Amino acid sequence: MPTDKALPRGRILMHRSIRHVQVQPWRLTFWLTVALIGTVALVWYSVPLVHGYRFMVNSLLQWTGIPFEAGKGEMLSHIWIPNWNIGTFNPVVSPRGFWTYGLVIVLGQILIWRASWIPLPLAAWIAAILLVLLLAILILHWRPEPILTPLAFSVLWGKVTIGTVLIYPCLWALLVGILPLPISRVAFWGCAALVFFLAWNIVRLAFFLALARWAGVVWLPIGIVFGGTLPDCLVLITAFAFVMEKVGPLWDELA
Amino acid sequence: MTLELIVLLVKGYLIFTVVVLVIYVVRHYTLTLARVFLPSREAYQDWACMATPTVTVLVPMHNEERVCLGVLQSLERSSFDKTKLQVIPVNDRSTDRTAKIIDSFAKYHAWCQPFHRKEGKGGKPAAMKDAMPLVTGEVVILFDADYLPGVGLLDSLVAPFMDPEIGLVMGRVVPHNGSRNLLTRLLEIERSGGYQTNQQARWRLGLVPQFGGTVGGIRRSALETAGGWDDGMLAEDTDLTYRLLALGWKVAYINRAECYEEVVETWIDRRKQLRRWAMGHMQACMRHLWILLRNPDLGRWEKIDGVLLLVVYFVPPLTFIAWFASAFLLMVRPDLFPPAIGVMLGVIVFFSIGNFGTFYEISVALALDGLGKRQRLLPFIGGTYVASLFLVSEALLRLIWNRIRGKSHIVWDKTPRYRR
Repeated sequence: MPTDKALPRGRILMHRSIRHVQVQPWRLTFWLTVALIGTVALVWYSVPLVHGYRFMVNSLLQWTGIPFEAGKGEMLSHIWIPNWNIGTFNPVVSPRGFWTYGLVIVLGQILIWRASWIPLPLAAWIAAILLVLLLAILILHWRPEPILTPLAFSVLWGKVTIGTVLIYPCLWALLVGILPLPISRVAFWGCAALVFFLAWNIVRLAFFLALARWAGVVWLPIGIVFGGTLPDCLVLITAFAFVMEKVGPLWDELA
Repeated sequence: MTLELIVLLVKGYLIFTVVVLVIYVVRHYTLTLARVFLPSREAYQDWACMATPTVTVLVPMHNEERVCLGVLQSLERSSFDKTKLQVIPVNDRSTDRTAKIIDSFAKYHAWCQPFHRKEGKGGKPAAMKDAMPLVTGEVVILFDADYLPGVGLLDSLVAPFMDPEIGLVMGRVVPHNGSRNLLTRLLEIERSGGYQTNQQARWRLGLVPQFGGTVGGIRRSALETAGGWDDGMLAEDTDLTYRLLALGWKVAYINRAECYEEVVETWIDRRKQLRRWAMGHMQACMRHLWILLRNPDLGRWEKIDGVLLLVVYFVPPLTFIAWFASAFLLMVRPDLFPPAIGVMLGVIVFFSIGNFGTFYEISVALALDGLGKRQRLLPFIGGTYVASLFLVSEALLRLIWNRIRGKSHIVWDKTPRYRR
């Protein structure tokens, strides 16, 4: 009988520096097939889905007490994109409004970098938002008639949302399907991310429309630049992180 | 008419930015998938402990009383043949107890020969340049003062020099204070992505791994042929990588040669560090880009990878400006935005995958490293990404401002130590 407990061990863990994964083409094929079926289903059911989306945004706007008119919408290929007309205003038409906004932004920009207690990433996000706001007030003071109205904003938002939803299943399959991850986990987090993405998207759209109503049209560019694809990407990353968190050994364990 | 011209220019700029970003996205994915699916390349491990050259370890120290003894004690425990080892702690104008500590250590260890630098230009390259006349080893290994090299590390780093083509060797940096706070955790996972995936894949694919100026070695003859250290450079490591590449030397990356380091623990220090790296890297880019493109010794892919590595710090300012350019277009011509579903999907893919490339690289590295829980921090990297856009853009502006003023001297911000 060996007394050394190390001797009977049949498996030696590979050092992390040389771990790698065997390519399994069936996984990618499987997940891409599932993703394509999912995309086709999304297109097939696009009419009820879009109507459900519009209903949710309408409900949120009603709940917040914002009067709105449903626009005619636009067609993106065969998919109808709803839009909303919200009464808004340009707060920087008058020199007073322009200078007030301008001074607050400049002051905020200075303070945010001087306040050492604010974590750098948070300061950077706030500073970036302030800079886009600065650009918006300059343009809207120069051309007081806004071109990016809530109507144009919601069409643009709809295009981006539909594009993202349609591409999402294939993107997920390419990113996660290629790795040897448990099927149940990939499927669960993939669906959860899509549902959360849509719900979060509805809330954000209603929020930015409300912001345009209450605070003026200058806030809409921020909605597209920072409230659009960046938070969508964060949803995807979070779901991806949850899938990868519980992953077992990805690598060939035996040395 | 003027507005139309501005719109045209902005559109052109955005298209250019998208092309650049797509190139980097392809690079990220290629490297990640290569790392995951391709078996590791020969890493010279079998040659470790064979007939080895003489080695000099340089450890630059400027006010390092908190950490200097740690690195020396770690080197004392090294399995490397002490008769072939010379360790030079380079005391660079320290005003604290650094000199005393290294002198008292050297009293009992003949292989430790401190070099005290009382005056001269500040910065690591200047200190190492002054210490070079004392170097006797055929291979020079570098460690920062906060590093804790393991027992077999020197053998692993020296082994690749048995290959006569290798001029530089780089090891892997692993933070030992990764659990201290959110910043250190984020830096730990960034390091994981950078070394476990990026550097290892570049080495595997025969591209250009980057010499990081620490946990790495240089063949002394190669260093001397290249003209030694340049004390005018902030990123002496990048500068040296490209100078040696120009002379036909190869860079090896040894993923197994892991060494512990201390990452910065405060955002203020991180800000200074990132700014220094960005300025140094841009400085190196301006010096080496053209030489690299004309280098006949490098293969096509090595050149492409080398160029992408050199210009990498110009990408954040490019992206930063692109955000404002797209905000401008949105406000003056929203009708220009994707009219057809094909273009629309293309843009979405770019934004989704483009933003996701770095995260994918880091996530896969964490899985390979077995750091499952750290995956939860991936969304926080988004925050640091925006911060780096600001800091790197600021670094570029400073560099341009220095050039306009004809100021060549750049202030070297020392990284503070936190060891308790």
